[in-house]
Amino acid sequence: MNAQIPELVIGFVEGSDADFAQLVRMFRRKVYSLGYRLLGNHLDADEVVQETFVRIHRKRGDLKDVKYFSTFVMRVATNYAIDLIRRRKGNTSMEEGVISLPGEVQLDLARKVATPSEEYEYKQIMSEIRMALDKLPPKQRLTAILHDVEGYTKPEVAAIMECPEATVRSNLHIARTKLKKLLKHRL
Amino acid sequence: MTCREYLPLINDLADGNINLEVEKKTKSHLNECRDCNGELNQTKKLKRLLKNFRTPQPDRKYYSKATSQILGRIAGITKTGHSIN
Repeated sequence: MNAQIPELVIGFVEGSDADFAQLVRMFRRKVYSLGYRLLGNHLDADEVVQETFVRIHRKRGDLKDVKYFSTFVMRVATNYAIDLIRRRKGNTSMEEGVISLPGEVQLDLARKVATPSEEYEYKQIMSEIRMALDKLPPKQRLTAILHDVEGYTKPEVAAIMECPEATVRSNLHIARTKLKKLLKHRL
Repeated sequence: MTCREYLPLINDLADGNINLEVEKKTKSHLNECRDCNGELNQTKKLKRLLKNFRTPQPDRKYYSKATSQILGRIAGITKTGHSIN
């Protein structure tokens, strides 16, 4: 699948809407997960998905100089998500546990659990992690999510956040120190 | 070096992202310092906890609908020449 990306990007830059649509299909899930992890609710995650791809389409001229499309996508997504967090003044509307939304969007657990008590415990832990992350300033939250949750390396996080690797290292250290305190009972 | 100064290095060690010389020095400190050893264990546990942080995923209908909306917005922008903020 990855081998296709450079060809699709070239097609997109040259004006192919079909190639752009294919790129959206390839990256929409990743962008949604990041948006949800950062903002904690479906509506904001959806806004991140929509705006990220509309902005990428608008910036298609910049893509000629982009080495890794995936890094570019995550950069656009994280910039928009950080703006959104700031607009919300840090008050993201975290959904309690895993809920079902009315209408067409039905959310279900990404991980299956065996018994109701295990499910309850699992939801509880996920909710505590979300609340702990929500207490971090946007850039520390983003660094912890990209590195420790999404599994990006420090150089990759630096490329996404457009900052020196030393800043990533420092933000990660501070974020983990705070998270260890907030989640002490789980460690 | 103080324990406070070792903390960022303990993070690097937990990530397996540390040069050999610094690793040797940090491990030597960890052999002598119970508190810093505790920090390393807590960092490793935190990393495991965060790695398992899952978010609910919407069903497939959502992604199809979102993609159609994105493409619809872009078609509108292209047609009218106006950008949407």
